[in-house]
Parts: sequence; C-alpha cells; structure tokens
Amino acid sequence: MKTLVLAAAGLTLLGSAVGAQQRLRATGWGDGAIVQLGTQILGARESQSGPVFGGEGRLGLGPVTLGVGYLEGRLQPGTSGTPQGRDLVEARIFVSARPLSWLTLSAGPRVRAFVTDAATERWVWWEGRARAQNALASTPLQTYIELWRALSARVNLPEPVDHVQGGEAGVVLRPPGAALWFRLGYRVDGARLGGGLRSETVEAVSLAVGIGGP
Amino acid sequence: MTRRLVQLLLASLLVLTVRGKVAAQQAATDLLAQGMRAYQSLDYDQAAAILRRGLTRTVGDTLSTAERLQALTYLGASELFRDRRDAALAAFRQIAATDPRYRPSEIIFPPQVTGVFGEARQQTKTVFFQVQQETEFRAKTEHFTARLVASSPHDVAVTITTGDGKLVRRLYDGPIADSLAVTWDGLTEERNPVQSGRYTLRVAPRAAGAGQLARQLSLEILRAKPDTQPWPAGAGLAEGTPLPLPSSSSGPAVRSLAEGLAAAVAVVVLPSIVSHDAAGFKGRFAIAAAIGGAGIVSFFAQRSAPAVDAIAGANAAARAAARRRLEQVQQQNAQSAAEVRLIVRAGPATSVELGGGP
Repeated sequence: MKTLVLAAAGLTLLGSAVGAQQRLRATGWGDGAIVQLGTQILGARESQSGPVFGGEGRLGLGPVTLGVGYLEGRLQPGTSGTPQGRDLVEARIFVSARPLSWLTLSAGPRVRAFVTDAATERWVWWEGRARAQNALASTPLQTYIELWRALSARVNLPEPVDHVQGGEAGVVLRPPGAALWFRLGYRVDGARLGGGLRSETVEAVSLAVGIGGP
Repeated sequence: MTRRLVQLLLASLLVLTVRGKVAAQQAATDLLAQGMRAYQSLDYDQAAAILRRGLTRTVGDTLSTAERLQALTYLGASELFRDRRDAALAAFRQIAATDPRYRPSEIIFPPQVTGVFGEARQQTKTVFFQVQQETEFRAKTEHFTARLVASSPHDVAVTITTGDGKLVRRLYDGPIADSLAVTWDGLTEERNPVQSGRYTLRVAPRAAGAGQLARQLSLEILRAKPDTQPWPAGAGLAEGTPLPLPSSSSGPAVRSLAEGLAAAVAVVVLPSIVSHDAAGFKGRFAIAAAIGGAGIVSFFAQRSAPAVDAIAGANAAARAAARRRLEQVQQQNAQSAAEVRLIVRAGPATSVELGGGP
C-alpha cells in the first residue's frame, strides 16, 4: 500500500511537471466484464467466474498520460469449482506515453486481491505495457492488441512468483460525430508460481463505454 | 578709308585676344617652371613672387593638385631662405591640409626646409577620407567603412550628422596616429536603421581651437528595397485546393483486413501465449469473430470506395508540403523585410574652420 501511495504521488508530480503549459486531456470509461478465474495447484484445476464492473480515468498532459483504474466483482465457483466464491478487487495506476501514433507504452503498479471469508490473496506487481491500436480504413472501427509483463511481483502465497504476464485484444467503435465510444475486448493474464506448482489465470470478455480518447 | 581702318582695328583686337588666351593658358605651368628656375638660381625673392602669382591664379589655366603641392613646397622653401619663417610655415600648412601623405624631396630640399615642413605638418591637425564611392550593406549586421588618414597624430571625434548638423551617431572618440578605419553599422544612437537622406561624416579635432579644421564628407544614403522571394507556385494547396484524384490502390483495404485478422487471431491465441494452463474462455471466440468481421467489413468498404483515404492522404501530404514551402518563403521574406539594406554614396569632402575657445 505504501508503494502504491508513493507511486501515485510520484506519477502525479511527473504529470503536472511535464504538462504545466499544455492543455489537459481527460478520458474515462466504465467497464463491465465476465471474468473467469482458473487456478491450478499440483495439477488440480479450480474455476470461478462472475461479473466484474469497474472504470478507468486518464489525464493527458502533453505527451504523458496519467491513469487510474479500479474494478470489483464477485466470482462464483463453477461446476468443478471450490466450495465458496470470492471477491475480486483490482486497482492500478500508470503513466503512459505515445512514441508513435499507433503505439502506446505504459508502466505502473497494479494491486489485485481475491477475498474469501477465510483469507485474502494479495498481489502487487509493477508492469510494463505496449499497446498497438490503429483505425480500420473506411469504418469507424479501431482494433488494438496489448501485451504486458510484470517487472516485479509479490503475493502473500507460500510459492515464489515466477512470472506474471498478460495481453488484451479487441475492437473499438467510435460512431462519427458521437462523444461516446464502445469497446469490446478480451483480456487474459497468467501467473506462474513455484516453478509450475501453482498457476492462476484470469480471463475476461469486457464491454466498455467511454468518453474522450479510447 | 574709314572702312579699312575699322577692319584693321578689329583684326588687331582679334590677334591680341588670341595671344592673351594662349599667354593665360601657359602662364600657370610656366610660372611654376620659372619659379623653380629662380629658386635654383638662388633668386628667392623672384621665385616667391612668381610662385605666388601662379598659386593665386584662379581663372584660365590653373595648377593641378600635384603642381600646386610642388609650387607650395618651392614657395615655402623660398620664403624660408628669405627669412620669412611664418610665410614658409603657412605654405607648408597648406600642403599638409591638402595631402597629409606628401613629403618634400630630401634630395632637392635641405634638412632646414624639410625640418620646418615637419614642424608645420605637426601643427596642422586634420584628416583625409578614403571612402568607396558607393557602399551597399545590411544595417546592423554589416558596415560602412571610412579610412581616415591624419596629417599628424591627434585626438578626433568622428560623428554622423544630418544635413543640418544634428547628431545621428557617434562613431569614434579618441586618438588617431597615421590612419584609422572607422565603421558604421547604419544605425542611429537609438539603434534604429537610418532613414534615406543626406548626411555628413564629420571628423573634428577634440582639442578644437582657432584655425583648426574639421573635415566633412557628404553622404547620400538610400534605403534599398528588400529582396523578397516570389510567392511559391501551388501556394493555393496550403489553403485547401484539392489534388486531382490519384489512381486507386488496394493497399489500405488489405492493411485493414490484415489488422482485423491479426487482432482476431491474437484473441484466439492469447491464452496459450500468456498462460499454458489457461482453460481458454470460450467467449473469446465471439470477440475474435467480431474483430475479424470488422477487418473484413473494412476491407470491402475500402474496396467499394476506392482510394478515398489515399486521396485524402495524398492531399494532406501535398497540403503539408505546400504549407511548409509557404511558411519557409514567408519566413524568409519577413526576415528580408526586417533587414534594412543601405546604399551610401560618398560626395565631396570639405573643410570647415573651427572657432576658437573651448
């Protein structure tokens, strides 16, 4: 938590310093997703799924954008699932830059928690992301592909973290003349722990409605 | 009888007039030669009288500058040997005021003469201009140069003034030994480029006293028109004139299709890339289909409306290039307009005798 607060403060200062003389750009969206969590421990697989809702806000100053995101939902056991459900809470903060018109690079910390009545599994990692997004000619559509990898990760589980990585792809519809845009996407991330003794995968199909730049 | 007498009288008058003119034409140079011969014959009184007559001649044949300097030298020497030192100094001062570089020949004249000449030159404080007939330069960044040659070392104040004597710019205030190059950037004391008009380059001794000479050079200054570039051809493009339609291209359509399909494939294979243990959310296939379909829609939309984006792209590129050319020319023209080019034409130099007292 301390890391998160420090990072937020640092990024806020960076953002304000970079864009002091430039116009502020604001973007925001709400996101609804069906999330499926898969956990595999020593070959035994568990699966949970459920709706998750969240949102993200971004402030752009010059070439730099600062963003924060939050989502929360309840995952229920599947047919072969665990006896009880769990809450998924996730938050992230990041700073991004656009070196090319179609490429966005971002970095920042993310925290994720799976909360059950008995315990809370807490993840904290720093991730670096690369996103390619381009318009489809003669249509109001854009497609995007995003890949990311954790630069460092911590979790309150007995197994050490081997790696955490993920990706996302989707399509964005921005109707001509409309202020709103819509995004349909699929995202997945996977964590591998203890040399393969344990792995966790979170997949989501999401629909977002936003205003400002997608 | 009377008629013959009148004809004889007219003929006599004509002969006398012609003879008089010839005599006047020969007189100035002849007088110089006679004066020099008289000096060489040690007849200094005769030499001084003849030379003075030659120097004071103002009509008909007059002495050239070189002859005049020679006549003054012989006159000064003659006066010196007549024990009229002041008259000798006056003659030598006239030489110094005419040409500061002139020196009497040490072969012809004894040290007694050259010594007094040097004394007269030291007492004479004046300068001479060596300036190009016409100089063109950029005000502020380039210079007009005037070389000053001094008759003897002294302190001078060099200024540019208007025709009616108002100060425009102080150029130099200090000593001059043999010669000095004074430069002027074409600006006034307020650092503004000077206007067209008549000006004066004035050099005055700082210790101005009675009999001292200030030298002035008349300058005619013109502001030259800025040398601007013509408006570039095709400047209308920058204002939005469209280009003719280019030939159609399937490039954007194929690219859109490839992008859509790539994103669709990414959705399908992402779970296996990210996590080997991923179950693979079946719902992702719907997303993949939507993305792939978008790519296909874009492909056909592009094919049915060929080259619209290509036209827009080509127009945008042409507009950008035209705008860059236009901005470049505007910038260069603005720079040229900001530059003031001055043409300085040097007129005759004159001497002004200064009044006495501090």
